[in-house]
Amino acid sequence: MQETRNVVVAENSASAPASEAKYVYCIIESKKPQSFGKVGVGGRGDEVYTILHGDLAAVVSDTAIAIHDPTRENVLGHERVIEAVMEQHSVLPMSFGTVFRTKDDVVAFMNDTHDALRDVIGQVRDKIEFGVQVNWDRDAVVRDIEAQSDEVTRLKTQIQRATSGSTYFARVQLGRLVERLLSERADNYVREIYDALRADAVASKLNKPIGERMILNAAFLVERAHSERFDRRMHEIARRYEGRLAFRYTGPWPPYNFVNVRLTLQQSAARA
Amino acid sequence: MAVERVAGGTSLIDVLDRVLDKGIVIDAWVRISLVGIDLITVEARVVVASIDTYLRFAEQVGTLPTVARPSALEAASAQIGASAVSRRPRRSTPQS
Repeated sequence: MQETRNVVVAENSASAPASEAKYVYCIIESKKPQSFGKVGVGGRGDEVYTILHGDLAAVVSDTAIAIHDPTRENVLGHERVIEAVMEQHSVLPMSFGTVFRTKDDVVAFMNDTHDALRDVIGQVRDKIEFGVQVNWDRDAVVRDIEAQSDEVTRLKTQIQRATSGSTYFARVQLGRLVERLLSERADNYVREIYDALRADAVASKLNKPIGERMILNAAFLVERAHSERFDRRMHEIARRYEGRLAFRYTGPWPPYNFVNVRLTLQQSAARA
Repeated sequence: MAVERVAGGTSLIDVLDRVLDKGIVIDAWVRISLVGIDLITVEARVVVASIDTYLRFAEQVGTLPTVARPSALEAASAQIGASAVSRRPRRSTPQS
């Protein structure tokens, strides 16, 4: 599957001083050197700046050579830097903790992946991501279902009235029925909400709900120029389900859910 | 107002849900050990293993099947209607 060019990218980075390691936040389109302030992760107040390569730039800060643990401070720091860059640029976010030993390594990385990065950045240009999570009160919905379904009522009565013999099968039947009705109801909610929101989005993605109460965990990619329209739609939908569903609406985010570029490392020909 | 938008970088869980495994990811990053230190050096090339940008989705909105029940949604990488959407094929790194 994988072909490679047999070229030597660079040499002798091992002799570079440790402090020159570069933490990479994101890739942007830029041809001029820029600074985004002394907000680098790692708590040293390192400057966030650009390393240029052709029409692309990596947004980096200097760092000690170390593995960065995903602590609260580090993770939020990583995100905040990207959000600051996003105010003026379309970004390709790097996943947390990507460190290159030297500036040359960063340039080599951009050189190796240039065409792919250009392609993807073109697709997310002037677009931002929003997150929408929907939670419900499962117990309240169960009570609601019990009140509405004749079949549920019948089974419950049967279980309560049983004076002798096992109610095991009736209880299993009841449990299954309630589960099915719950999942039907969740399906309907998810479909209605997801369909309505994606009408105003360029792309959308369903992620796995987190926890028992969540029925929808979705991300939407929206034209920056149309974000107010998406906002209005979100509020309209939240009002429609008021009292039944709780919405969490987050963003704008870097397009994490819509940029999935997997890279691997390969020994370069010179060392192979 | 029925729902307020919360800025991205305020909730740790929301951020973790994104930054750890999404965006540009170099697989097995910290496990790479080339000169006895777990960081990239230019002795290794970074190559593109796959690209998925999901953007084809928008062209297919009308053709999507109904969504799966939430409990049936697979891992975080699950995409709605993946089976009905012709996503960009996975590609290897462009050659020169």
